Amino acid sequence: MTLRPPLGRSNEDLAALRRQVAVLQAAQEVAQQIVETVRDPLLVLTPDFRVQLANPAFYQLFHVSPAETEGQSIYALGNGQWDIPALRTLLGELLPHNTVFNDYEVTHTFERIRRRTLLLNARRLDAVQRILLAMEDITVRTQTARRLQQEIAERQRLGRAAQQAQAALAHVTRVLTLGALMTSIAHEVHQPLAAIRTNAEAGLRWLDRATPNLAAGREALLAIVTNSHRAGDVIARLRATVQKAPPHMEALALPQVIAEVVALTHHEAQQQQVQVRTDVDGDLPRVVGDRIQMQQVLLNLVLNSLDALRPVVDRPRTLLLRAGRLGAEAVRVAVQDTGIGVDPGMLERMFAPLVTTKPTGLSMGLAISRTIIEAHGGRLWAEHNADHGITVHFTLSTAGEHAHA
Amino acid sequence: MPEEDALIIVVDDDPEVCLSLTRLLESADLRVETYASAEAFLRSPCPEAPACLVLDVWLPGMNGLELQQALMAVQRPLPIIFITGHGEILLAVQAMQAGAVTLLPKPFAAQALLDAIQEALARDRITRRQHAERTALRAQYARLTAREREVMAHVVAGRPDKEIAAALGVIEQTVKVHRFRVMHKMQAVSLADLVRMAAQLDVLPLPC
Repeated sequence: MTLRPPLGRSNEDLAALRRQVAVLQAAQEVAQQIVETVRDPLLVLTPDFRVQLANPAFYQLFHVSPAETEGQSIYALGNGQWDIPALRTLLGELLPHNTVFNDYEVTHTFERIRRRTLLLNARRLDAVQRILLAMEDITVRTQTARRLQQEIAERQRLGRAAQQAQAALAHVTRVLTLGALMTSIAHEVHQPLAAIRTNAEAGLRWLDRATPNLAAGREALLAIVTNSHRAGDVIARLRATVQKAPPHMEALALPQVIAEVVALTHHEAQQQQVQVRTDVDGDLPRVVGDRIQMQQVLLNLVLNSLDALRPVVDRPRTLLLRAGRLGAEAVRVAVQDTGIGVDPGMLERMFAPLVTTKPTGLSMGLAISRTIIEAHGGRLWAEHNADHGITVHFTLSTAGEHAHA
Repeated sequence: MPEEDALIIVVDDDPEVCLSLTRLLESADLRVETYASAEAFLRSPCPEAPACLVLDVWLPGMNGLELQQALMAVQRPLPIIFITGHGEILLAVQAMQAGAVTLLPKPFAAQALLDAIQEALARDRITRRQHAERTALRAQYARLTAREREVMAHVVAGRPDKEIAAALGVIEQTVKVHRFRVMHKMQAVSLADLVRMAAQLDVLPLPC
């Protein structure tokens, strides 16, 4: 804008001058109103850092009045509470070299409003020789973020602890469950041992004859080899079950797991004269699961069924293990017995820890089984059968189309 | 009876155990038959020679103890040697009370089994002899007339001929003739012998 020299001004000149002043005044008012409207605290500073103007948000946040603020040096404001090194750095060192500064974070304890974290945005308005200092109070946001972080960390820690506790409990249950099966397991080991000993003694007798029968002796030795493998398999199966290993998810062949559990409980079932049948789809896909945990769930369900079958005298004691596809991406396993069943009220309640329908046991089996299945992303529930007993179902996700069991 | 004819019947659902026992028993020149279940064994014909059972306690379906009971019920009293994967005291007591020869916990020494088998076969020989005697006795008894059986019942009750004659309404001489025929047909050498036979045949002394 070019003003004419004041000398020799005409009325027209004066009128033009007045118009220009009015325009300037209007512009200043607009600027002032903008400053006052902005929700974040805002200061207009002179080049020597005196406050020319502050907006209501500033007064509100810092609990100060215009009288004690305007015209004061910013470093002198409120007993010098703004005389902070970070601000001096910003205004004195950074701003002279930059016209704009954004998101300069300052944390400071103010006299009246305690500890605050502010984001400072500064702008050098060179045309009018002013500095605009905007501040955003991010104290709450920062605290919330920090609290959230702590909370997340805490939850992760608790989650890990819970997982560890659950794994330990599952292990204990597994060992106790096998403890209950100890008689049966002893039987399973004694069978091949008996065959080994008898074969060895038979072999010796054939070789000790006046005319040694080498063929019979050799046959006995071969049988010893076969049976020692059998005994080894029983032990390996046991060790795999009591192993205290971290969960290992794999593409699991359920028929194999089912067969292992049937083998582990074979003697127990036989002793109770329970007929155990399996009905497994021929094209059952592999599932995503931890072998030991799956074995534990099935073992637990089978043992529960055997318990429910023990008092039955008026009908065949049967136990059916089924496994089949459930839609395209899941497999359903069902353990069905003709046992004494449970009261309708217990059908869901028995999944709670320490709730049991039996006189013996740890009262944790079903709760742990459900936890395990849910950790696998599946569901575990019980239903009454039409005639006798109950069926416990659970679902698991398939491991993918091409991984057939 | 020659030893070679003795038959050892093994009932165990574990084929490896059956095979090993067959090997062992054949090494002792014993004849062996094996069955995987009590039911399968019950369908087999009765052995003709002295025999014994080597029986697993835990079998699918009917278990060993139940088979023992079933055999007693049908009067097929084969001596039984139980073998079991785990020795339970109660089980052993039950089996022995029901007349088992012994109960061997697996794994057992071959000699223990062979000794038990000899004892079992000896028992079976006695049982068979008693059975044969009883069968012969029954045949002899079957040849008696109704009147002779009546006289026999009175005689074994220890009654004098005179009393028997009165009870039957005949003369004493007739009773003497009947008594002579009874002794002859039954091949009894003495009154004591006849009393023993009567006891075996369950001939009850007639009341007066």
